[in-house]
Amino acid sequence: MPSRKAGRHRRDMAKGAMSAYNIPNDIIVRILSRLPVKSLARFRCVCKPWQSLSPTTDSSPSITTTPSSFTTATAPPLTTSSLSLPHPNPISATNLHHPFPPRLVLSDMDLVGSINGLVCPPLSPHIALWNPQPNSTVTFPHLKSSVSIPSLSRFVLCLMLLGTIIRSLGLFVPSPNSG
Amino acid sequence: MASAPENEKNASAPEKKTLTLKSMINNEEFVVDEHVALQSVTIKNMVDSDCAGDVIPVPTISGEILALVIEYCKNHANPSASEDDLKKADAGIVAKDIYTLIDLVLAANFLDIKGLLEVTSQKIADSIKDLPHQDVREIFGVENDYTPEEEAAVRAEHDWAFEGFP
Repeated sequence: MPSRKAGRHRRDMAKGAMSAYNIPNDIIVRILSRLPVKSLARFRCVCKPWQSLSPTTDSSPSITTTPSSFTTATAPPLTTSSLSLPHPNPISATNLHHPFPPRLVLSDMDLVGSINGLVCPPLSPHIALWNPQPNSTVTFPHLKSSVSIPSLSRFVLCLMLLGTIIRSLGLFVPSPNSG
Repeated sequence: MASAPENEKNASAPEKKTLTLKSMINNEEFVVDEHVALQSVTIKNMVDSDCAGDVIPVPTISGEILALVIEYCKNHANPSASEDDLKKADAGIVAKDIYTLIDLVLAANFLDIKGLLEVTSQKIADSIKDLPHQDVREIFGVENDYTPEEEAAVRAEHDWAFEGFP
C-alpha cells in the first residue's frame, strides 16, 4: 500500500512524464467491477461520475457484470416479478435446520428477493432469509409483527449487504408469535 | 503471413521475423519476435494492414512499461509454458506499485492485450480495495466534484462501508 506521500511524489513524476492520467471510463468500470461491495460503496464518494458508475441508486447502474447482485438489494420495489430464484431446491429446503414451526415448508413460498445466492421468501407472518447450502443457522432478534412484509424484506436484504460473511450462513427471522 | 519488407539485419534468420517497438516517451527501442508482438491486437492490426514499418512507434507508453508488456507477451507466446508457470509469471509482472499498475493497464488497453488487461485490472482492484476513498481519489487523479454536504450525504447512504475509515 503506498503511503499518501509516496503516492503524491510518484504521481508528480508520472505527470511530468505523461501529463495527467486520463483513464478511460471502461477501464474504471473494469476495475470497479472487481471490487467487493464494501469498497464499491465507499468509492461512491470519490467523485460524482464514480457514484453513478457504482450501483446502488435507482439510476441505471453501468456495472451489470459484478459478481454480487448489489443492485437487486436496493432496487425498489422488490416484487416476485422483478426477482427470480433460478433453481429452487425443495430438497435443500426441507433438510434445513430452521427454527420455524414444522408446518412452514420453504418450498411452498413465493420469493421476495435474492442476493448473493441467498433468497428471501415471504413467509407470512415471518420473514426468512435462506441460504440453500447452509453451514449454520442464525436467528435474528424478534421484530415487530406490525412491519409489513415487503418493507421488512427490503430491510433484511439491506442488512445482508453488511458483510459477505452472511453469505455462508442461513439466516432466519421468526415473528414474535412463532414460539 | 504478410511478406512485409525484409529486414536486412535479420536476413541470416529469415524464419524468425522481428519487429521493433519504440517508446515515444523515452525513445527506447525493443526488438521482439513478431509472434510475440502480435499478441497485441493493435499491433496485429497494423501489421495485417501493412501499416507497420520497421519500427513501430508506441506513443504514451514508457520504456519501463513497454518492457513489462513485452515480458508478458513473451511468457504467453511460449507454447511450453504451463498454466501454473504463466500464473506465477503474471503475478510477478503485476507485483508493482499502484502507479506502475495504472500505467500498465493503460498500456494493455492501448495495445489491446486482453489477458494483461484482465490481470492488471484485478491487481489494481486488489490494491485499492482497502484504501480510504480519499486515497483512491488521489491515486486516480480524480477531482472531487462534491460539495462537502453532497459528499456527506452520499457517505451517509452507506455508512456501514466507512467503519474504520476516515
